[in-house]
Amino acid sequence: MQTSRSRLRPRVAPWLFLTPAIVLAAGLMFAPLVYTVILSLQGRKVPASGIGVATEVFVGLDNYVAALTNPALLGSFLRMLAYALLSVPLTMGLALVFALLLDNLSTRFARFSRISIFVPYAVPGVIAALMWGFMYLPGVSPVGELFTLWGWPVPDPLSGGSVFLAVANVSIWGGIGFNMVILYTSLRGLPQEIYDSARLDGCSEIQLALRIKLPLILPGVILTGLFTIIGALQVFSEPNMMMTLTNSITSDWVPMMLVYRDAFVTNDLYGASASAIVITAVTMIASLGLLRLLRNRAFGNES
Amino acid sequence: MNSTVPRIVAGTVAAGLVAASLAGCSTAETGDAGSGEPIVLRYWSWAPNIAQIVDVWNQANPDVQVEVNTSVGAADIVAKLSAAKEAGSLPDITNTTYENLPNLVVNGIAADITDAFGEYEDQIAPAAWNLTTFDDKNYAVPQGTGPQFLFYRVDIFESLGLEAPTTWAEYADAARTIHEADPSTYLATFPANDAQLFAALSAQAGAEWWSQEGGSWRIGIDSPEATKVADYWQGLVDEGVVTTLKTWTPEWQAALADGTIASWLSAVWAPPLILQNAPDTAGKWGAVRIPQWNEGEAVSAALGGSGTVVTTGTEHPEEAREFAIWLNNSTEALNAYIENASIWPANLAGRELPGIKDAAPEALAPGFEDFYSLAEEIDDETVPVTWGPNVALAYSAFGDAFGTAITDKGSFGAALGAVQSAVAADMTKLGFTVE
Repeated sequence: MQTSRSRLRPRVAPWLFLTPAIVLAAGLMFAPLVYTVILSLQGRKVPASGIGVATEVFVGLDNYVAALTNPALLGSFLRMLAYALLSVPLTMGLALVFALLLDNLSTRFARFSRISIFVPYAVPGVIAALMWGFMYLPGVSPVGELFTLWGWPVPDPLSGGSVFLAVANVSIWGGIGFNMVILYTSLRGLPQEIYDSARLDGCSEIQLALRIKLPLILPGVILTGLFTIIGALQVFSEPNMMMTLTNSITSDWVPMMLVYRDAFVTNDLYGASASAIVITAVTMIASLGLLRLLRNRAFGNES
Repeated sequence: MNSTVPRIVAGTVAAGLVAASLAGCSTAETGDAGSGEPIVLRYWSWAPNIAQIVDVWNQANPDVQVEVNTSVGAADIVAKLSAAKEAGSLPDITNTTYENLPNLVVNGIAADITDAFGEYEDQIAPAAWNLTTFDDKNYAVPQGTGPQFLFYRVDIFESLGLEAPTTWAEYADAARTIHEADPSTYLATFPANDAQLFAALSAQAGAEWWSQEGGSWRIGIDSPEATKVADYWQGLVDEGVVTTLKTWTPEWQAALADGTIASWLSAVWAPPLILQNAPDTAGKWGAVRIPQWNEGEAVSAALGGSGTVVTTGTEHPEEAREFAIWLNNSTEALNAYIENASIWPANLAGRELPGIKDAAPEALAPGFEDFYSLAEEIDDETVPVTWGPNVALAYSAFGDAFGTAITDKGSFGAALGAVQSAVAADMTKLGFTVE
């Protein structure tokens, strides 16, 4: 029974529960964000003669102008889009196909298939990129040796236009498992009576999958798709690893690599901060825009 | 079951965790001189087996102990030092390559050590002295020099009746002969990621990538001499007689090991690396001067080399300077180097120590025992080099520009122009006067 006294007492408990999350978010996300903005408004200058010690000065929006007029940044955005256009549909499509197939599979194969499709996700990105790099390089590739054995020319996936597919392949290979598990779990949660009545009405298995299962798990598909898109917008470790192995990937191949190189290789922390803020703004607008567009489909009947 | 017991246990565990994490947050403090505790200096280095050499100092100096951190590689050292400076946690002493020293000076990381080291000038090889002195102030204790060598597979050359090339024209002919004999083998690779090598070859041709006049800088990355070198290599790459593998990749290591690549333009520090990457080729390599542009000339360039820097963040500047000077000039340290690693010291007296000149590296074939005497000669033929404050940017721009040129079959000369623009723009933005 609630007394009037407990109604007047401020509800401290929810705030206590939220405090760790607020502290972590503030410390690990907002404080660095604010610091990055502050950094992006500074620059380094030396006294003009010979070799002198550089000092930090306030340069206003110079770094932003430089970032926005940098043709390399635009080029890296376009390459990232090409990469995303390859990796996102392929990852989501294959994850969906595997999830639907697994749903139909008998229990004997289901467990082994689930694990074997999921295992690539457990491999860290850098190691996966290194491993695939070995498979791609003609000089050390086991595939290349097989081809030579059969007398075929050894392919070089990392050269020319196929480099996008080669890099995307690494993240597709790793990302399918994760998305598949989520979609499979959604499928498992669907009521079985719908299938029975559909089969009674003469539905084939494919029609069942496309016309009944897919629309029912659409919120899950859209959410995982959104996460995959956001991940593709931030791609870094795969091309950064492969850059050391091949001539076709430059140090500014995707926006994240450009920021990393500016900040940690060529010592331009301030310009890198400005580029990073620009990239963050673009990514946030894209993500929020997509989410708004698909909000009703993603969250169903929730307000 | 009482529900307060689990709560007490949980509370104790939580308190213990908090205490442990707070204890873990405190950083190692150096003792104060006179408090009875030894002073601890932190030293960053990537040299192989450096810990054994530092041990010699630690045993002789119980009141000044040096802790070595070998996790930082030569390529990352500038970035890591800059980050450490921002965080206020610079090590006391650090290694650096000569190319990155101006950058460390500009960023206020390398301390002026003229008061402790200035009198050593006649004990140090002139090339190394010039690379660590700016405006008559010393900023690093040079460790060694990097006289260039051409390492080539004696067995492959002999089987084709070739002799070691002495001019670049002969080098090109050797490349064609080797590739024609077996189209899957090459004389060498043109690596887009080895800007250091290209800079050295440009210097040999007479180009000055950075030079100072008065207070202003001139940047000659795409000068005619450097363009000559770019065009030469473009010719070889277009003909297909050299390959374009990047160095230090698995492909390149495999190629070196199985004879797909028959030579390596490198420096005096290469033989242990050859053994590491291609152990089966030990005893098959010859080492000669790098080819010349004109018959009979003897001009060389330096490839790499490093020095020891005392940082501005040290709280024990005197002890740090003492250690830095000891590490590169004392007989005990140099003997420890001979025993545990390989060194071609910048200290002139050190070059006369027994064990340096008489032991030829394992990787070399019989007949090349005068390797270190040759290194001494090449050192004297080395052209002086000035490094600018943004070498890391130049190397990164080089890798991108030449990688793209190789992939798109573009012009190497134009790629050099792109590097020139990037370096000039960056220096102007920093506030340097660039002509």
